Amino acid sequence: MTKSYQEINEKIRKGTAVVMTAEEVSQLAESLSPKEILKRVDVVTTGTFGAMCSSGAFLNFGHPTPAIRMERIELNGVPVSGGLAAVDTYVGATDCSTENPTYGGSHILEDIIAGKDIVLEAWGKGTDCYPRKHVKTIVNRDTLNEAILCSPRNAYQNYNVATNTTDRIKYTYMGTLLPHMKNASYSSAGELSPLLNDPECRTIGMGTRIFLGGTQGYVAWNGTQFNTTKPVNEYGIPIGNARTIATIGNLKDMSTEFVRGAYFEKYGTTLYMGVGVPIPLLDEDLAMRVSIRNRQIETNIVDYGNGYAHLGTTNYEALRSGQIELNGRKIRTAPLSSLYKARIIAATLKEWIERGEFTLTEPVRPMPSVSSVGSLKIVEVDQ
Amino acid sequence: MEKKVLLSFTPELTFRSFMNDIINDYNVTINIVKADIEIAKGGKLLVVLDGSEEDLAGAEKYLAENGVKISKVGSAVTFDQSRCISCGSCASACPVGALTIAAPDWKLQFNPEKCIICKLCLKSCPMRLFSVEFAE
Repeated sequence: MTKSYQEINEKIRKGTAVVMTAEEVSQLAESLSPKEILKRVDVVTTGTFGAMCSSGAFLNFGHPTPAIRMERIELNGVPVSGGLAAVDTYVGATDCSTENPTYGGSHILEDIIAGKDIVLEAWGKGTDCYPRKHVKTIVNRDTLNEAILCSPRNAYQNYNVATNTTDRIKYTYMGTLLPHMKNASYSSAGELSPLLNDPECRTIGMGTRIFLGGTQGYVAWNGTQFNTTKPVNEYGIPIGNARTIATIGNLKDMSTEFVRGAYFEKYGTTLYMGVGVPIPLLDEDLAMRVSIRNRQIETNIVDYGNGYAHLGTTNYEALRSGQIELNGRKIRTAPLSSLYKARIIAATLKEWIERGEFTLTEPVRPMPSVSSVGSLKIVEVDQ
Repeated sequence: MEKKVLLSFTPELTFRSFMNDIINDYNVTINIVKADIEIAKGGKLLVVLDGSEEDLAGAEKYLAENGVKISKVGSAVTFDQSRCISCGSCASACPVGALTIAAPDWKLQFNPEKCIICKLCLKSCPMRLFSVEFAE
């Protein structure tokens, strides 16, 4: 038995599609075979709400009179890109000012969604066609012509568990890591995580409609650092951080419930982003993939105090129990991404589909079947 | 039993050995959670006293009679629940299990009784929602 996108969308339009969250279907899989799941379920929804540093948005301010070619731009004192024509910018989540490192690009994105006023100050050299050299004014969600969230790397497929073997506290993007492995933090939503439910991205590609920050968005491309070469376990799950998606959507339609500015101590600003991907059950293989349980999803334990040294592997059932074992030692665990919010995202996407407001899209371009990640080579530079 | 109290010392009281006295004479153990005190200047100690009910009462009476002000302390750590996303970053850092996040609902729980006011949560919350006062 197989199903097509068209058949599933027809059911969604009629209101007869059976939609389940990835957690619900994994529960069901304890007693049902993939074949039976394929028969019963049409769409599985996923969700994650975690720190996604490689996120940001394009903004267009509109032209003042006389016009300016904005070459240096600050929003609420945070320097943002002046590298786009005249009155466009890109606000990256990790943009920040040196004076106030706890407020950065991610907070600007949240403030735009919240409708708050933001101080825009920009400088240009003054040209024949853009004579103005300086502008200082207020912008907000309603005055911006466009605010397009366009993030090069979101929703990592699996991620490291972080711990710290040194005798000092390490403040990292994986949170506060206590000395002597007194804690370990993890970031993936496990069996609810989008790219772990379709690990080879058979249904996820350019044009896939998704839940993005509280509204409908799209997969724009494979994300940067898209990696198909990670070792895969017996359940087809890549061990460690593998595939990613680039995402796009209208920032103005998003909600601060699912897009939040954040700051990690001594690291910098980042964006907590809510992403949910619907997986259509086209065949038994996909039904088997979405049935994956936390105990089957393995990942690496990495020493963030000591050059990312590999310490061992564990799985998400152990991580969620609050304690993992490493070489006979018990280490307390806690998450960094919100499972509470991830569940709301998967449930919201489920509702949208059940109500017929959200239909599924077939990718217009598949993800790369082979893609690896190179490192930056340091070479001699003459000048 | 354990009891968390804030002890306030006037400058002259800093020349005496109260902690030593209550350990030796009242069989009460002391865990100093936070010290903000200097000899000849006075200050405060946030301590967890541990002993029998009788011994604790005796120790407190001794301190009070000698001019040490004893204040009860609830938790002085608070956080803005309305903006909390229950990510778990604070729970990961919390060394004593006052902040926890677990099944079934994975919502952040805070047990002020266990809090030792180490302030790691203040640094660890990505939304900066925690604040602490050296409260009495």
